[in-house]
Amino acid sequence: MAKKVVGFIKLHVPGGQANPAPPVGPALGQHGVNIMEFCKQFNARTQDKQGITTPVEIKVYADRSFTFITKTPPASVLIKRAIGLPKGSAVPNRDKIGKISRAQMEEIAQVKMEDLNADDLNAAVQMIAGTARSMGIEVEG
Amino acid sequence: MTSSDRRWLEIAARCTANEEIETLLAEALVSLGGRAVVEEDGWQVTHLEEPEDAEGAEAWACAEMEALTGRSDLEVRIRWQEHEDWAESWKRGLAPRRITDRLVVRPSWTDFEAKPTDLVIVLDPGMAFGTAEHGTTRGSLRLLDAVLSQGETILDIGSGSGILSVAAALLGAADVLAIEGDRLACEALAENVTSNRVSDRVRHSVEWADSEKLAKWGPVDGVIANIESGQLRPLLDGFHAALRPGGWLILSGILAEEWDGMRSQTEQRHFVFQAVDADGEWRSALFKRKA
Repeated sequence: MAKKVVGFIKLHVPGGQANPAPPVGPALGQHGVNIMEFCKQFNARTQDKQGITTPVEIKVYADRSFTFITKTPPASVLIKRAIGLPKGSAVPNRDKIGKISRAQMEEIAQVKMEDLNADDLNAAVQMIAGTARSMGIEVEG
Repeated sequence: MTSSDRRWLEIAARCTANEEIETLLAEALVSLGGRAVVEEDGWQVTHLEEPEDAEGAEAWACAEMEALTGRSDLEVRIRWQEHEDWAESWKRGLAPRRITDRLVVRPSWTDFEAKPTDLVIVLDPGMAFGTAEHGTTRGSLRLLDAVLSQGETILDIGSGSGILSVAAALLGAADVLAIEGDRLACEALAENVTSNRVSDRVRHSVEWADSEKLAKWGPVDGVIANIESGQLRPLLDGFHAALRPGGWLILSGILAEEWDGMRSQTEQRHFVFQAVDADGEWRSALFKRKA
């Protein structure tokens, strides 16, 4: 029989850096989740995404056990990281704040492929290009 | 400031939005200094330690969030969160636990009837890693109890709440140096060292370890490192440099599937495998440095 879900927690945590300090500790503690266990498992699973803000969804069951899934970071986060941009453009469409190459977009599209509703790599790249333009980034190629 | 009279700046943000915006907000909150972000009723929420300029903090947070997100539909909500309202969250589900024939961990707010031969670690984990609720802590404690000899000198790398340092002192270590880079964890550590009356044997330093520093902290008889595999690997040469020939090394924070690789990497760095402790999916291991 499926276990009864009594809590659902959505977090964003930098990869490899989950820590019992607020806000993670209190958010998990109020559901009776073993805070240490979550942090250790999250950090182990995201060792290769050090510091990249990663969406996490945690299901808490009636016996206080839990499961969690990590999602790939959104395209906007990967785009900023790829071109070394600290923040989005204040006035999208007017201030061009950087450039992204086809190769960089392909790399991001491959990471995001499982989450994007795209038929092939080219369609996925077009979606990444759309996100980049909306952030005020010039798309090359 | 002790952990109980602390307060936190809570910053919440939302937009009329889709999922991509959620993470944009979360990233902005992390850029402001948040350690993570929780979603609550459509708001992205983080907590910052009380800034020095508490009065100017609200205006600063609003201005920064606008600049970081560049969104005209951004709503920001600021309030202060008293720490004590949360303290119970960390305490839930923690109970006294016997780890070995003589080692017992007792959360400070619980009662335990100890035998005369028991060594009881009184623990208030605060916001730090290190309670007996975790398999890596229990595994490290069991190995420590088995290997430690009276009068030894020890390094505890990534000490968190200080549970392993306190245990080492109670088991007879003459000098323990606890290294922990997280300032909040060090506050818990200092309190736990005091409440267990081992201040004369446990020192601590607020910094992150690297191989160069490890070499300077040695030579010691034993090194304990309960961190994570990814962080242990780059430190293996440093552990070797910190240990006297024949000294022992406890590694923990290793997942079952990482164990074979971790063992062979450690053996390649001139360590001899002694024992492994399995607790659920976590492995803790004891090695000795070759002479």
